[in-house]
Amino acid sequence: MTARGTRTPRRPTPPPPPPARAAARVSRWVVSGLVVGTVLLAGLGGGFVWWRSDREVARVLAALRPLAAEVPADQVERRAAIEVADRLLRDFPTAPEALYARGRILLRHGFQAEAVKSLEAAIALVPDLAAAHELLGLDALQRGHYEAAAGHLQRGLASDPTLPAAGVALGEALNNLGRMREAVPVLERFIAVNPAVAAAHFQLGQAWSYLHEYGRAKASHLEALRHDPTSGLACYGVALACDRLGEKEMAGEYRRRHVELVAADRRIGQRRVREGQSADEARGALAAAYDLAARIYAANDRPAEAAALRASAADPLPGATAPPSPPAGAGRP
Amino acid sequence: MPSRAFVSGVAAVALMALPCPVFAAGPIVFRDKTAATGIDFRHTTGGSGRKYMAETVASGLATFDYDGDGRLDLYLLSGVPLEGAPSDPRAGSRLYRNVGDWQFADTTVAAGLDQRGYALGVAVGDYDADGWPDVYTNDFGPNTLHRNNGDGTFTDVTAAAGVARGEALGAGANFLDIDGDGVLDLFVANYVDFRYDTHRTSLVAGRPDYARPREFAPRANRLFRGTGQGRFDDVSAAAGIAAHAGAGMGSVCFDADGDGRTDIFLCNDQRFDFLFHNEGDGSFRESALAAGVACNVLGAPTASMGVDAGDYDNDGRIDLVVTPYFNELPVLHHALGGGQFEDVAARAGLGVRAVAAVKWGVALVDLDNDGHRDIVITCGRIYEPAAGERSAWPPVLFRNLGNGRFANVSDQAGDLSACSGVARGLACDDLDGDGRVDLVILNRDGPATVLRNESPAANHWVGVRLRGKRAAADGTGARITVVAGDLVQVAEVHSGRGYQSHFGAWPHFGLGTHDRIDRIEVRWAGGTTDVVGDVPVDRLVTIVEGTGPTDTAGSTERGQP
Repeated sequence: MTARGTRTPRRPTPPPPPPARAAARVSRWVVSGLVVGTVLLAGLGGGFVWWRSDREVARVLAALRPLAAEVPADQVERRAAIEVADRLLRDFPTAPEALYARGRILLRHGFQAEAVKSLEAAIALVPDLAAAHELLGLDALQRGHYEAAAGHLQRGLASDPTLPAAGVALGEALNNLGRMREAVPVLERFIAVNPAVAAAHFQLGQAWSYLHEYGRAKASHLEALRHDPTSGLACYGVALACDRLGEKEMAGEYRRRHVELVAADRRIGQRRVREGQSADEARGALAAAYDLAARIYAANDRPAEAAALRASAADPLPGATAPPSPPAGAGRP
Repeated sequence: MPSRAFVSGVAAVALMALPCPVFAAGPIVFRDKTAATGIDFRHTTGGSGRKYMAETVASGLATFDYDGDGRLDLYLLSGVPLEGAPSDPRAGSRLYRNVGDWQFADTTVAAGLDQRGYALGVAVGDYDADGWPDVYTNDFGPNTLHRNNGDGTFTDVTAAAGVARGEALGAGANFLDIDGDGVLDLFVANYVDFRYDTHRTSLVAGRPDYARPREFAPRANRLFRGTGQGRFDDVSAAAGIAAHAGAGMGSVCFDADGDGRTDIFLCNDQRFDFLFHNEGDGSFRESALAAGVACNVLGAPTASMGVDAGDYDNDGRIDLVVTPYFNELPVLHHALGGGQFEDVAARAGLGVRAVAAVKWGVALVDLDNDGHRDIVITCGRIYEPAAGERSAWPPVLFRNLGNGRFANVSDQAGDLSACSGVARGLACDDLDGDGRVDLVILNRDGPATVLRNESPAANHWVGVRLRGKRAAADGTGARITVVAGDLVQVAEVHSGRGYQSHFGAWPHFGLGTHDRIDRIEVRWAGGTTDVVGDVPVDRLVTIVEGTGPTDTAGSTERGQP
């Protein structure tokens, strides 16, 4: 369960700024056969892929559409991001890495439905595209579709066990599905590689608690707190475990800390919609979009466009001095 | 008080149940009967486009037998035009009399319930102990208490009873008996401090939408003590209720720790929920955190909307199920005993396809009469949907597997999954007396939905109607234990539950293959106990305090009050 609004132990940022590792991973199919793919795509155009596609792929691809008109004019960052995404669709309508990049950009900027279509289109072309599965899994998790999340995350991890966020997210999805016995090894594997991720320890603590292994639950929640001392929820986990272990004094202490931290968490009132972001966050997000797009153009032998996009990444909001308006309430029910 | 046991065998062999068919775990099936019922109600939020906060939380509903004909009638709450909205003479809550054969007649005006309040929550209880159920509605604006005259009409007695209480944005309401004196008291929940002059909106996707609840100050709730003389005294401060302000929504009164006294659980939106523990001296102590019911298992205060109380695992303790916001699992507070609870929702399987929607109405009811209470949840959006998103959602049905886990069977329940709406309130009761619990859903700015339970009728059941003498006349607060072989179930009589709604005043027990009931034990709110032995099944049994069963009407014949 994503405890938005209260401070859950920090989860690793979903796939971190994409290009370096992720793009390589995303483009495993492309990178390994970049030359062949580029030649084929260049030579045969989209027709080659269309020829390969079954009707479902065609349907998914056909559903993709430009989004330029979707954003209020005052939201500079979103509009710029959409322009990048639309450009990717226009220039590489059937390239899986471009569809992935487009989906990633749209997801980051709040266009969930269109982002999912783009990612699904990428997967329709490359079924084991791990990074796309990871993003779809994270999105499904965020939306409470835990079965879908678990499915995508498992497929992603099967293709690429090093996906940065999939392990802890899969653990969370499995916990929420009541499949704690499956969650434990997933989380333990993740922690073995990423020992300092508080969210993983927290989810492991949840799993142990559900399994009535309160000693282990307490240890995991304390470990989560060691890595994120501001987590009120981990305090609650410790308190519950101590309650069950009969350690009333410690339970009381952590319950007090839980209440204090939750009360101090200003995000509680912000759970329903992102309240906005700082100018730096906006710039960072947009820079990531430009950078990701630049890598796609570079991989497809279009260096001039790639260079221009890199320049944009260096200064993504030229002239912007104030934070942009809050993004639209995507996902707000 | 001294406990008094009353044991009675039901002598009449003629009342013996029909031979028991072999149990078969069939599906739970609902059919949409709305179009055939004659119910032309259409809920309105009374919105003018200004996005007033009151619109987001409207409304609940009630099922109860107002005219004593043995059939459960419907009272569907509605808003009325808010400031700036055009007048709408048809807007308002409606009373529908159940005339049988799935026909309902609009008797609102004839019954005198054609009030023009902005109704949000409702509780039904016999506050004057005359044998007829009275109706309290919790409104945006002054609340109303309507006394049932016993002739099919009601009289507004709000002023005389002293329970109007200002212009608050109301929420749930409950009659309860604080001290077991047989006189009903009244708990009235409030949401946030929304008024026209505190109105504000949020800007979402460049357009105004409803403000978030935490943008308003929370409102304290109220507790009224019944005097027995037709009046209530406001004891909110003295009882310790007024000291706590959340953003109240649905509420339920139940005995959280088995001490025989009725406690109060209140959902709070985006804040810790409250459990007001009845201290036995007229005061209440807020103890939700200590009891483990203030938040979900993660420690996060959820946006709690509705709540129901029932024993889902037949361990003899009353559990709680709470409906929160989207991307939050339903919360299932399993009672551990001693007033302690543990949220086991994920372990119980409630994370399966029940998280994406905003959840409101909720009921723990046995829909297939297998002796295990299932969970129904209604869903619907609050804010304007963005492109590609939807406002209307179908209900969610979790079938109790009898092993502590639930299975989401929403897609296998007949018309259920086709009944999408922007739902709020839910009421679950046996509307046609066939022994299967039906559903009524109140949809925001839309028609109500009436779903007939057409599940295979292989299992047995019993309904229990209580009549108190020294205890509350309608049995509110009583705890009923039904023992049929190795199947032991408990239930309490609640006034007000779910999402600001009222239903189930005649607790329903599925019995599986058990064709005889060994005994029914009633612990009245005052502490006395009656035990009725050897009870036939498949009927509504009426138990009168101190005298045993007076009526064991069959499934097609129900007794008069």
